[in-house]
Amino acid sequence: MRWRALLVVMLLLPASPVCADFYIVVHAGNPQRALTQKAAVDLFMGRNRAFANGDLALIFDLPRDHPRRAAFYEALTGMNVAQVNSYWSRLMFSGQSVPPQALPDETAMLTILKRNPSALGWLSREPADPGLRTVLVLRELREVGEK
Amino acid sequence: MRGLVAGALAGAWAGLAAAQDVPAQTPDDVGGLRLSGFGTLGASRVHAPAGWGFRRDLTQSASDARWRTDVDSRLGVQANYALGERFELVGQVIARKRGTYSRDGDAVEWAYAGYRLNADWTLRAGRVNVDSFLMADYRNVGYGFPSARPPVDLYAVLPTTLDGVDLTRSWIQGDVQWRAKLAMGRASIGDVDAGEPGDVHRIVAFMGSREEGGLLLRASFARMRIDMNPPVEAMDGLLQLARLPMPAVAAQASLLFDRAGARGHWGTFTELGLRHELANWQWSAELVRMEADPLIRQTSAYVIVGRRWGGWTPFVGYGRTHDAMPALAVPDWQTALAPLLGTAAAAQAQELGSAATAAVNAARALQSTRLIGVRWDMHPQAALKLQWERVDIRSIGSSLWSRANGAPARAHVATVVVDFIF
Repeated sequence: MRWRALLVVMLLLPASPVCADFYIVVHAGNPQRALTQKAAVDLFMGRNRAFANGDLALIFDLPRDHPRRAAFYEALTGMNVAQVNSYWSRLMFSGQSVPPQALPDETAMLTILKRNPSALGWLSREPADPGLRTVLVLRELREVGEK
Repeated sequence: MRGLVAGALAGAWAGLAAAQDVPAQTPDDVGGLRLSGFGTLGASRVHAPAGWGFRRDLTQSASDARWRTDVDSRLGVQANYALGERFELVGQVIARKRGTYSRDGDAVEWAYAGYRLNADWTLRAGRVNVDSFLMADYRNVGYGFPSARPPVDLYAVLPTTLDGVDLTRSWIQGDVQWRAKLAMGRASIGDVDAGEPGDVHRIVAFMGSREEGGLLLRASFARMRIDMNPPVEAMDGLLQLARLPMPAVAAQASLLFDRAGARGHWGTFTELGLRHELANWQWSAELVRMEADPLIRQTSAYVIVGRRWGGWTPFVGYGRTHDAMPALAVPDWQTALAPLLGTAAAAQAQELGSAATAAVNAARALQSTRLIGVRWDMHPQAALKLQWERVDIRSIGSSLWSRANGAPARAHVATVVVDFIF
């Protein structure tokens, strides 16, 4: 009876948002302690090539068909994937900049981030490795429950 | 003794390495080849005076067919080869239908070596691009802009690729991104279906842009030497006529000689452009002035406005181009020269004068375009566009059309394209 009452109460609760986060990560030896969202946009969108101290940044991405990639760029830039691709087509095919290099999966991303102090990338799960530092957390809001 | 020296050297090397704190060898995470590409499949229905051929730029071939697939269809493949963090080799080839007099190697759009001096500065050498117009760098990449093609009134007469060097500085100041570029080299220009393209050389071009919060403002200025390549025999004939002891005929022949571009002329391109993307609105506008007296004094401008609704972006646009160099009247050399040269020679001179005048007048562009269309982002890497445009061509202003006769006219073009990237 208690469990049924609890279930009824839970179903009657208003739908609450569930956060899915994205983690922008660097090597622990990288002097960059944190990134603003604007700075992250500039790096991932090819407008800036360096960290705050002037060191060249090597930006890495996950593959186009990664299930979270569209949501990552929407959380980062507010643009949908077609807008992001359109933006890059103007830059890439005019030689102005190249998109971040795409790695096969998040395991490869972890490997590169752990060995290269110049690397910057993103993950869909918070890294537990002490060899890495999260410099920015992006939140994606998604409604869950009955509408 | 040798052992002692070897030992000392080994010790010195170890000390040096320790002093420099040489890092463990890291794999080259940024080397390697990246292949990518873009393309367009397009079809247009053209309603224009008989014989007139629609073109989006003067490198295209002439065709007065009502249904065209060659206007927008193209396929581009690009290879980026990174040699570490600072060096890059880039090559891009575009397959599309070109005019009769297009040169070998015109298919190569980009072919350069780039060196990144630091985060802000990049030097490129080889075949780059004349970055003197808002869409110049990506005019072939339909996926990158809302309309079916770059506004023809402005982009039809662009010089082609730049063989030379450019130096770019790009830096961020607060919320503002600045770019400045200096380019030098040579290019070619002109109608490659009607004849040999003109040579544009000793180009010095400067571009500056400011981008903040979705608003891009840019200005560019370029100075160059333009040598059109009119037929040599015809130009020799005009030169001879210009030396005759008949001031009126000599002046007319000299003017035709100059207007045909036989003598090199200094020219300038001046451009102001803006592109604004805010919320779901996007619009772009540009004003260009091309001056190379007495060849051309062209002012061109356009504005395109679009609004995104989900995956759909309807747009409208207006463009206009106007050459202020006057049209020439056909000289009457038959009458003026017959007493001096005889009837036959005078008739030949008249033929030359008529042909040269027609060629000069055929190079004038005076037209305006109204367009409406919609872009549908049907796939993250492909977009479908429908566009309808009405073009009003003024008297002796039809140079953007192939095999046109200079009469005032109105044309309609309906286009469907699929742009994609891979």
